[in-house]
Amino acid sequence: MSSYSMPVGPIHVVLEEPIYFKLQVEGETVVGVEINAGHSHRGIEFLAMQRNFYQNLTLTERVCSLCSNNHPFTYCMAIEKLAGIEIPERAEYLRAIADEIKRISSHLFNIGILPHIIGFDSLFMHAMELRETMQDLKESVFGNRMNLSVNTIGGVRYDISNEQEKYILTTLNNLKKPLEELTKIIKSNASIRRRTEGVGVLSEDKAVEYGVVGPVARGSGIAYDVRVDNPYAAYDKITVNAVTEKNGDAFSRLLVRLGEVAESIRLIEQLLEKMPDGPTSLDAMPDIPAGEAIAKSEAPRGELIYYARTNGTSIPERIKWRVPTYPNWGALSVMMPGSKIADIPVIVGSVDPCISCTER
Amino acid sequence: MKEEAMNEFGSQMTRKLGKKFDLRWDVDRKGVVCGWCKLDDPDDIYPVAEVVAGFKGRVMTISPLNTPSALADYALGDTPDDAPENAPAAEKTVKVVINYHFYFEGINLTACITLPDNQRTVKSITPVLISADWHEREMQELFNVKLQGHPNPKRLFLEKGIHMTDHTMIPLSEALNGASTNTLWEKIMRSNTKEANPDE
Repeated sequence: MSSYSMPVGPIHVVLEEPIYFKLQVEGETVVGVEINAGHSHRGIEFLAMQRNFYQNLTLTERVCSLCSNNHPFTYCMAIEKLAGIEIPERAEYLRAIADEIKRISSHLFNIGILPHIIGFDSLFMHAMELRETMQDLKESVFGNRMNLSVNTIGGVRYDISNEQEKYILTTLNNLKKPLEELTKIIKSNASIRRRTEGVGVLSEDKAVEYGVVGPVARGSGIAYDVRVDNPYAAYDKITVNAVTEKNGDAFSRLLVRLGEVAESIRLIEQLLEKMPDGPTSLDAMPDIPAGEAIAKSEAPRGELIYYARTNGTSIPERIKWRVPTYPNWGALSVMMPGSKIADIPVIVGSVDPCISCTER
Repeated sequence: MKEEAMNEFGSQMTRKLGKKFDLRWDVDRKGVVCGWCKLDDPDDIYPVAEVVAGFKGRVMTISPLNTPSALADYALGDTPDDAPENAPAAEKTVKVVINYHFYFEGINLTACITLPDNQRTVKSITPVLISADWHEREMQELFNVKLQGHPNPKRLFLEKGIHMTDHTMIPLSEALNGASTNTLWEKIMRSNTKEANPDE
């Protein structure tokens, strides 16, 4: 059978963001894939080298919307490490709480998108309704639905009162039952399983080879979670379980995300319980000396790393970050071959790609 | 376990490189290990990658930088307006420093190489560590660093028609989208003057 090349994108039916796949197909079956990115590059890394350390807090928060909290979070940790700043203990807890709240929202979004791709729109709305409760929670506690802007160099810029703590716990508690229902539907629904099981398989060996991170790695059986393996903020003071699945298909990745939502609820409960009283940030803006450091965090999509190098001025010499989606793209060349054209959106959606992150 | 891997890495590196190299570990109060390794010869990055591959490790990212940065003058207080447009940028010695960030056995390792003046070629490590693929190709496009022995050195982000020069970072929005938006805008403006209000 002769092979054709077929373009998918850059404007894509399921993704809100542009990326171009050049597929080689034989009949209905994909045999090869080539990816071309760069359609929405904004040069943010370059901009970060023209702004001072505090301006960059605002800038990095705008790299991506779904994991917007992780960018300034990790950026602050890199700068703090470099300058030898130890932040107050309460701030470490508050940072982790904000991050877990963002993770639940982000995961629920992707959990909803997958049924939407396969045409199960009522479940999509069900998941989005759950996510909406988290959006309300963010708006009530932080004042914003997406960009929380809670991080600053030397601590956080928000605090949780006893009332707010109660509100958060009640909201999370109310989320548990519908989440169980959602998990039950996803695990038992024949259409979802038919469209996701055995689709876009990434074996453990290949996952190691391509260096994938986040739910994509954990769906292939790699128990790597930055919160466990390279703890930061308050994650060394609580127990974090890395959720893993074995099959490495789109269904496994969906289950990992579902499991992580439940895990995040548990983590927030632990964090709120153990959080000590005290200050939430340093009193003064610290000077940043010359040096270099790296910092990592577990964003909803996986490991996020920041590298910072400074020269003693108020402007960084180099800020480089690698987002979790970045290494995951390469693995699509393993997941896609052998699948049908109709499975492409499911596979791409199961990676939960973030193109604005990738292109920065 | 991490300690073992740290020692094992050090001894394997000594064996591979057969000479002295600068390696320092820092462990933070949460037990996160970061290694910093400075290599004298840029080609030494290849044996380092081989050692990391032996540990079943991966490349987390690659951070190239021009030093001093093309913006160094601005950072010291000069406003962009002061910078003469025909400044002989080429005469300044700008070195390319490349940091490779590896991860293996729970350890973060940064290996740093500095390219000698006028050399913008580096040995590709993608043949040993496939996870370096996109990072190297990005470096090739945004820092004009040529890759030796990369299995697929095709452009990843930039349009084929753009020619790179040394010490340039191209804001892609300007190079790609900006261009098409301009064309579109000019077209709209032209049509505006001709046909927009035929009654007047």
